[in-house]
Amino acid sequence: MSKEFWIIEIHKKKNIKDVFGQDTKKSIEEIGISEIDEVKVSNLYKIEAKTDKKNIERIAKELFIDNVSDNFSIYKKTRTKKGFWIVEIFLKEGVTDPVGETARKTIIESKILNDVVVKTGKKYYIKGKINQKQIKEICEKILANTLIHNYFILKKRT
Amino acid sequence: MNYVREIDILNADEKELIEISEKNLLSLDIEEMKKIKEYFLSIGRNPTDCELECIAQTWSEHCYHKTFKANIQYIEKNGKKIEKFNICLLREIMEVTEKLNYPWCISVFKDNAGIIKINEKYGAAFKVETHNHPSALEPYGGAGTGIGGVIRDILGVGLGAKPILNTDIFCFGPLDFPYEKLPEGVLHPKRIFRGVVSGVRDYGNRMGIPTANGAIIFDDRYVYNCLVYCGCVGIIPVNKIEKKVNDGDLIVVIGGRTGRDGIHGATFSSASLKENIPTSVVQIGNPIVEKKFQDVLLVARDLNLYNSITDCGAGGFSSAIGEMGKDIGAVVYLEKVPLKYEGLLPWEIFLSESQERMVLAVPEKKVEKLINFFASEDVEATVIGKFVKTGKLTVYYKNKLVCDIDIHFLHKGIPKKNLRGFFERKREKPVNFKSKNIKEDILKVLSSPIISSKEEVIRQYDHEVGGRTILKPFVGYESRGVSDGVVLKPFYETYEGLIISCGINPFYGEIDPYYMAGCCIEECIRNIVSCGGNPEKIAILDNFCWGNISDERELGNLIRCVKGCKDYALKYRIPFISGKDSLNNYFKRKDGKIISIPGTLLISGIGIIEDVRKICSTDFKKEGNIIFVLGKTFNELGSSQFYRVNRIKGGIVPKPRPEKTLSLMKKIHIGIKNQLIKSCHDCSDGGLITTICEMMIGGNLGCKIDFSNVLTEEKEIEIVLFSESCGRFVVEIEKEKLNEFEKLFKNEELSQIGEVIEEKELIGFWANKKLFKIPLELIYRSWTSLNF
Repeated sequence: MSKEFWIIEIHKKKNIKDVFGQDTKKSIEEIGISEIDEVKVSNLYKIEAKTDKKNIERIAKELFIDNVSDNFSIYKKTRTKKGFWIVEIFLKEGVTDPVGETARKTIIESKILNDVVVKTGKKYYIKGKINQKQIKEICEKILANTLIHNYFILKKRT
Repeated sequence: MNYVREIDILNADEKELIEISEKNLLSLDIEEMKKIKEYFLSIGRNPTDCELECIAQTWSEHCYHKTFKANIQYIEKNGKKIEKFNICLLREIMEVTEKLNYPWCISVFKDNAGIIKINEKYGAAFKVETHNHPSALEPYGGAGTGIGGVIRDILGVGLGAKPILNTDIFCFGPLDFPYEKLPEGVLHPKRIFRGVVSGVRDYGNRMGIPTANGAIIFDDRYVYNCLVYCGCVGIIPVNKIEKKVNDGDLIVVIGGRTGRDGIHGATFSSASLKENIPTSVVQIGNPIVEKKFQDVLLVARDLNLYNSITDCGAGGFSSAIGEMGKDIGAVVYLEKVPLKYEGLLPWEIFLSESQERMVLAVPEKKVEKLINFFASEDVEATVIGKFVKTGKLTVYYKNKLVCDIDIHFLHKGIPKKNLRGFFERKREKPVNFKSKNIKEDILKVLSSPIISSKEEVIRQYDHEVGGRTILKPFVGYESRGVSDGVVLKPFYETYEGLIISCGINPFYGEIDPYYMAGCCIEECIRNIVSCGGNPEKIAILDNFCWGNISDERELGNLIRCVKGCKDYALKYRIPFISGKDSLNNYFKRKDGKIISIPGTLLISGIGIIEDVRKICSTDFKKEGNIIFVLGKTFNELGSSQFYRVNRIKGGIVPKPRPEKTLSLMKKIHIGIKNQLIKSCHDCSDGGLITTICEMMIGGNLGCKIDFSNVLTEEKEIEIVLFSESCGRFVVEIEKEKLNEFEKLFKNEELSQIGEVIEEKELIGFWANKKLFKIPLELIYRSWTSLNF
């Protein structure tokens, strides 16, 4: 098997309040972009390893999620979502990622894999009447610090 | 691959020398570059990149404190009178401690933190650092690593102290600063604020250290350069204070791995913020790593497994090893350093400021035990070299020599700076400003960002962890009143305690930095005394954050402030035990305009008390009790919160009166010890009225006050209510103890002003005429109205 990567996305279950999302929505409104209907936030773990999807599922289920409040999904390529702008944020190469490092150690210690690299990121779903320019503004003023983060915008599917 | 670059300075002229300094981000000036050239001429070769970087770090403002050690010609103009003399700022501060010469100041100005004696067995170490530039760029990481760094200072003082408390003091731009006025590359104050608070919270909480004392200041001039002060208090056995590196000791690095993070931190933080910043200066903290080595380190200390220790802060290994080996010499093998990833150049490894690392000097025969011991707790410990009596700092990378400099030159070779400072005293004139509506002004002051409750922030910090916090940041009814300071009980077996507090007010400095210094020192002491502290058992730390000190006037302000520190510390008989300065906090806008921060002095204090059961909180305790003001009120409204909310400039700044206040404070200490005083709160920002309102909020009780009874120089309502005169306390006394109280405070300035009542309202009188009535509910709502 060659080395490939998966992304594990951890998001809140439907009946659980997404506090981070609401906080982000408030911050966006504070910079003067008011027509936001909803913001949802997920945590991302980018896993680079020689393995199969089953092991990745085990990692998500056994190590990363809180069974009470979280759900997870696994994907390789980010898909668009109807009605939402999607922003993915990862740390730039060379910036220390303590959470990723702890996740890596945990995966190895729990003997699921013996060689793996983990990078953490965040994913934002933003619903509202906003254009490309505004989403860029949101990314640079609120979501990412371009000094240490790279961000990717996925256009809203209508 | 060629790992080492030689930099041609032997053939460089003055212009080229400056170019070399700028291109490599060395922040060295021409005199220093010339001195380096001279040294390398004398040994007949060019420096390597690593050597040049190493010298630049050691000589940086951040590590060497060039300005504080410089020889400064100072001119002070006061009207027609001109005073002229030479001054060395560091000497001024240290002279205070030397003159007072207290036996309980056991380690001052030489180690990573100052240490005072608590009892025969233990001492308390205290250090406050700033992390301004990193927090301006990446607030979360910057503030977190600020806390992480100061905790390591405490772990690296003597042979290691146990951290038991963090403090944090911030200065930000206004949270409602308009977005469109923000220059490119500058983060909005709100974003910095949120990031910094969560950074401090996450690091402190995850380390299991309570964060329980602090302050937050807002002003326009902090938009471009925020200030983040982080402090840490630790406990150390007195027999673990001495440390000495021996010839032949191995150099062992423990904790985190080395990456490209924070390269050029020290030189970068010595320069001003410009609009282009390299990614590499950002540092990200990892509290879990630090927590792990903290626990194991203190056990290793008690097993005597090492001879010396220091933290890897600014300047990385270059600084830490250079500092430890400065009387001996050291040989380092960089290929042995554990890395986060491949591809680092030797100078990057040597200079990297990756977090969570410490350097130990370990005798050869104990090293195996030490490494195994650390490994058993999942902490990496690696031998990377040896302290050898060569008088040189020698560094190899894969058998290639990358650095070989004379230790003496490295630490003593820096040319002494000659600077000039100028200060012109302004004539302070009283402003005639009348309040249109007293009630409205009271509420306006209470809801101003600086006065209003910071509960939303403070609640995010764990201030209980460790179970030592006796007097907490919040007191009284529903724990909503504010405390003047925090009282800790560090030991299980005795009732001895520590009181920690701070004093800061950059606004007084606009009128005269000399009195700002006096007021800050006094505020800090007052806070400690009103918690029950003994004014004769307090030590303080100074932290100066200043703007563009290459401007003679800015430097003059700084000198004037240092003079104030010295004079007032001597008058209050309070020693400095440690300090730090962060200069060049200014921002150069695209149009060339320089925006400096207001010169800001933070005084942090630590007091020792014999019995934590004999302390006092600020909340009113019981209806029927009598309220007194101790101390006298003057027309000192200059830079007060009352003037600030009404946008009034000028006025007279408070002038401390050390003799009066010191005698008063000694009696307050006795009053609290004998439980004569039921509650005590010092008067500072916002004046007497703010103090009273805060005591009401804490007690959930009202009070009836006749403000015309307040002892004052000028009987005017604005002065009595809002003047921020020093040396004043509000105390609550039981009726039955009135005689005893008046006997104790005989010959002191005191005025009986009213009593605590059950009705939840503040009723204000002036010469028996009712002035206003404000419900407590409204007071509380105004005080908690700031939206974070």
